This record gives sequence, C-alpha cells and structure tokens, in this order.
Amino acid sequence: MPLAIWIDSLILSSIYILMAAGLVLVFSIMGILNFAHGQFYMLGAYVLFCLFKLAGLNFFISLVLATAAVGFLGVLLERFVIRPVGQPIQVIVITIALISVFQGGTTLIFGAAPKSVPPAFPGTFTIGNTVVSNERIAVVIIAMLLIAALYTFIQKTKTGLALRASAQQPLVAGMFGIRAGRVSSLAMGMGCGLAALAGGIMAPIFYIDPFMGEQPLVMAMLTIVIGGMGSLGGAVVGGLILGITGSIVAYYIGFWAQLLALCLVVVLLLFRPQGLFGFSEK
Amino acid sequence: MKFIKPKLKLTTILVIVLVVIAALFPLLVKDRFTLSILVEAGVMCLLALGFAAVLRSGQLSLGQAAFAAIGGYMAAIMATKISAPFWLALLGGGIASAVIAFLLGIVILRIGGLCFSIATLALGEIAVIVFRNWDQVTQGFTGIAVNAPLIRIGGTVIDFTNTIIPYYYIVLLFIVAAALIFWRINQSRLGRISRSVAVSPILSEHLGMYLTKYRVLMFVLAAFITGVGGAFYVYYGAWIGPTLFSGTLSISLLIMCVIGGLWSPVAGPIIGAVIYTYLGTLMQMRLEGLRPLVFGLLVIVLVWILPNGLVALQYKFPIWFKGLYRKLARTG
Repeated sequence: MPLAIWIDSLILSSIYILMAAGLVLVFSIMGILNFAHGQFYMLGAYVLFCLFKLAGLNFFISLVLATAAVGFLGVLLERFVIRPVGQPIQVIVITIALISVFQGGTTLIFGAAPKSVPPAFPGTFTIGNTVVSNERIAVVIIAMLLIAALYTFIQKTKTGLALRASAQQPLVAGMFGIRAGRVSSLAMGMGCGLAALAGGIMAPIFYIDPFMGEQPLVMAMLTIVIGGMGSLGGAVVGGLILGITGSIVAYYIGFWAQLLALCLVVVLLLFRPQGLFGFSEK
Repeated sequence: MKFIKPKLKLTTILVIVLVVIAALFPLLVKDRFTLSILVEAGVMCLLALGFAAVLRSGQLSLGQAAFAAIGGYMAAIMATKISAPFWLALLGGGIASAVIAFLLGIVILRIGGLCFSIATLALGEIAVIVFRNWDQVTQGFTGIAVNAPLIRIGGTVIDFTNTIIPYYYIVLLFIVAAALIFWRINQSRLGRISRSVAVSPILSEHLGMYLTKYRVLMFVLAAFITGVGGAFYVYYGAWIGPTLFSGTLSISLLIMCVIGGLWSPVAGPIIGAVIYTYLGTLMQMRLEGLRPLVFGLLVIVLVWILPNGLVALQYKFPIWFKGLYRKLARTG
C-alpha cells in the first residue's frame, strides 16, 4: 500500500479530530450541537488566506491571528446571540441560520470560486520510493502537537479543571465559584478557535471555498458519536477510525467507503449508544 | 353534553374562515407564479407537520428529507413501472416511507435524544448515496421523469397540464386532512402521552408508558405524511432525482417549525412553512447573491425576538397593548 495514502489518512484524521474536539467542548459545556462549526473552519481558512497570501505575513503568525480572530467571534456570538436566547432548539436554529450568514457573507466578499493558498513549507523529501511533500508532514505534526496541547490544557490546568467540572455538574461547579457564563464563553471561543485552526492548517493543502465547511462538520459529528459525547480521547479514536475509512478503505473500495463509515456509525449507535469511550447517562 | 369553550369556538370559526379563504384564493389570484409558490409551501407544510409531530415527541430528526425522497421514488416507480393511478401512487409512497420508518424506528428510537438525531443524519446521507448509485431502480443522477396525473371525476377529466390549480386544491385537501389528524391526536390521550414522553422520559417510563412505542408511533405517522408529501411533490415537479430532497431540506424544516412556533402542533408548522417558502423564494428573486446573508440574519432576529415563534404573537399582542395603554394612561 502506498505510503502517501497513510499520510492522507492521518491528515483527514487530524481535521476530524480537531473539529470534533471543538464540537465536543461546545457540546459538553453548553449542551448544544453547533451546526455552524463547519463555518468557523471555513472562516479560519479564509482569514489565513487574507493574512498569509494577501498580506504576506509569516504562516505561524497568520495561523495564530486567524485562530484568535475566529475564537473572538465565537465568544461574541456566545455572549450576544446564543446566551440571550437560551433554549436548545432555538439555539440550534440560530446556529443553522449562522451557516447561511457566513456562507453568504464569504461568497459576497471573496466570490464562490475556489481559491488556493500557497504552501507554507515548500519542498519534498523521499522515503523509500515515495515522494512526500513537507507540507503534509508538517500538517500532521502541527495537528498532533495541538491535540497534545489541548489534552494537557484540559487535564492539567486549573481552567481545564473548571471546564471539566462544568461539563459534568454545572450546578455544583457554580456552587464552587465557577462562573457558568465565563466557562460557556471560553468553551465557545476555544471550540471556534480549534475549528479555525483546523481550517487554517488545511488551507495550503486543499482549495478553499465558502462551502468547504459542510463535509468536515458532518464527519466531526460522526466522530463524536463514535468516540462518545464529551470525551476527548474518544474524539481522537473516532477521528482516526473515520480518517482511515475515508482514505485507506476508500483506496480499495471507492465511494462505498463513505457508506461503510455511515453504517459503522449506525451499528455502533445500536450496540453502544454512549460511544466507544463515553459514559452511559443512566 | 360536553362543555364547549368559547375560545375554542372562536378558533374553530377562525380556522374555517382561513380554509375558505385559502380555497377561494385561486379564483381571486390568477398569477401562476404566486400559486406555484403556494403549492410548494403546501408540500413544505405537510413535511413540517410531520417533523413537528416527531419533535413534539421529544426527538429531533435530521433525516426527514430522506422519507420524502423514499415516498417520491416509490410513487415514481409505481407510476412508471406498473402505471399506477395517481392516488394509489401517493398512498404507495406514504406506505413505503412508513414501513421504512417503522423498521428503523423500532431500532434507533430505543436510544433517542442526540444519538437519534445523528443516526438520522447518517441514515439521510446513506439514503442519498443509495439513490445516487442504485442505477437499476433509481436511475442515478438522471432520476425518473413522471407524467402528469390523470384524474377522472364522474365523466370529466381534470386537466393537470396547463394549469396548476388542481395541484393547489389537492395539496390544500392534504393539509386540511393532516392538520385535522395532528390536531385530533394532540387533543387525545396519545398526544398527552407523547408530550409527557418528550418532557420527562424517565418519569413517563416509571408511570408505565413504553417510550419506544410512542416515539415510533409518531415517527411512523410523520413518515407517512412526509412520504405522501414527497410523492405529491414528485408529481408536481414531474421529476425525481437524488438532488430533489437534499439534507438541507431536513434542516430547513427545523427552521420552519421554530419560526412558526413549537407549542402549537398545527398552526406553528403551517405558518412557518408558508412564510419560510414565500420569503425564501421572493428573496431568491429580488436579492440573488445577498439572499443567504439576509435570510440568515432575518431568521436570527426572528428567533431572538420571538423565541417561541410567530404563534406566540397571540400572547404578545395583548401584553404589548396593555403596556401601551398603561403608558398612555400615565402620560394623559
């Protein structure tokens, strides 16, 4: 089996994992499924496009700026749009409406035609008889570092502890002096920032267009279902499973791989509804 | 003798007046374009009614479009392969949807909640992939073309080819029937149980209600109505393909129900579907590129101001007027 396909599967997995991690954060703290998550991925890629290609900044600086900008946007949305509404179904409708707002806005500014971002790490190297571009390896390494950093943040820092506490028992967490509003803002900001990061590091590999967020969103939702709601480790395993079916299995059986991944999710839901790593609520 | 509430009487009169106005509408407005939007809105009403019934039993289904597509394909296949008459094809479409909903429902509705939403999302995607690739039955992307229906009443043949007025009346009939069914269910024991299952599954289970049974019942009923709506839409558009009922439709249904209002089982979805379709089509023509932006913002503002939907206006108006009256009384 060609090595390039393994690297592709890792790249796909890292998109899904980063997206799913953000989705899980928002879901476990705020209890809502953020349908606009794919749009933050798209916005991240577009902000990076502006800063890196149009303004000519350093790749890492533009990546950090894009993450910060989109994360801040998420905080603003949480504070001024989502929190005043409150009820879950209405919030879902608002996030769905945000999809068309962001897609429409981006189409107006940049047009619907796909755009390309120049590679941040040009050049290739050879392993055995396969030629691998530096860009792809760099993406995988950056994604792995990010996931490790996120894990450390959530498990080892005090803020991470506050996040985990509010996810488990919002009321008790509140009694111990954790501000529910701030935690929600933080979760939304981090979730959107992670989506933007995923979009930003993928932008040099894929083309970017206003509708690029839809497919990663669906895959991220499936990822969190496979891994289990509210579990970061589960998101990593789920992302790896979907990434491998999306590229390695697809290499052998074509588009039926997509069908296989979806069936896998449905079957998993039947036998283990809480996901591979989730806890049963009952 | 049952005690008839005066308020209920008023509502009944209002509904009858509205239905009569809707029935007389094609006589007053001959504009083909307006009527075609209304027929489309009518189909959306049917789908939204079904969707709202599932939502009111506590489950958010994200794959309703797939049931419309199953009904549509079934009707199209019946019409082309065995040249089934119009009504039979519609019924076949509805039954096909309902059977598939039953088989899926008894399995995936045991879980419920968010897992159900995502399972239906996945199943909706699976359905689209199957429709695209199962060439022998669905003819892939080419889709199936369907002839205009032929209906004889007495000796006269109703003309479907030059005018869309018959479609308008058929869809109106369906909406009235579906609305009556859902309204009746909502008043009955079944409706109360399905609401209690939605509000507190654990309590309902402990009171002896078998959750899956009621969830499946509402899901199957919704799938039947959705299937009939989808089959009708296929006749109306004379074509079905994998792109006709996309996943976006399932999500639009949620928007329709919420902007219409969720606590009313019938009025909310109908109002929401008509306004959503009418505004959506109008904006598509007037605004073109700006449309998604304006439409999204409009939905956000609407949900922001009226989180309980347009139906809630009936309670908001008296409050606003009372406030206005007090203000006037204070100043004057």
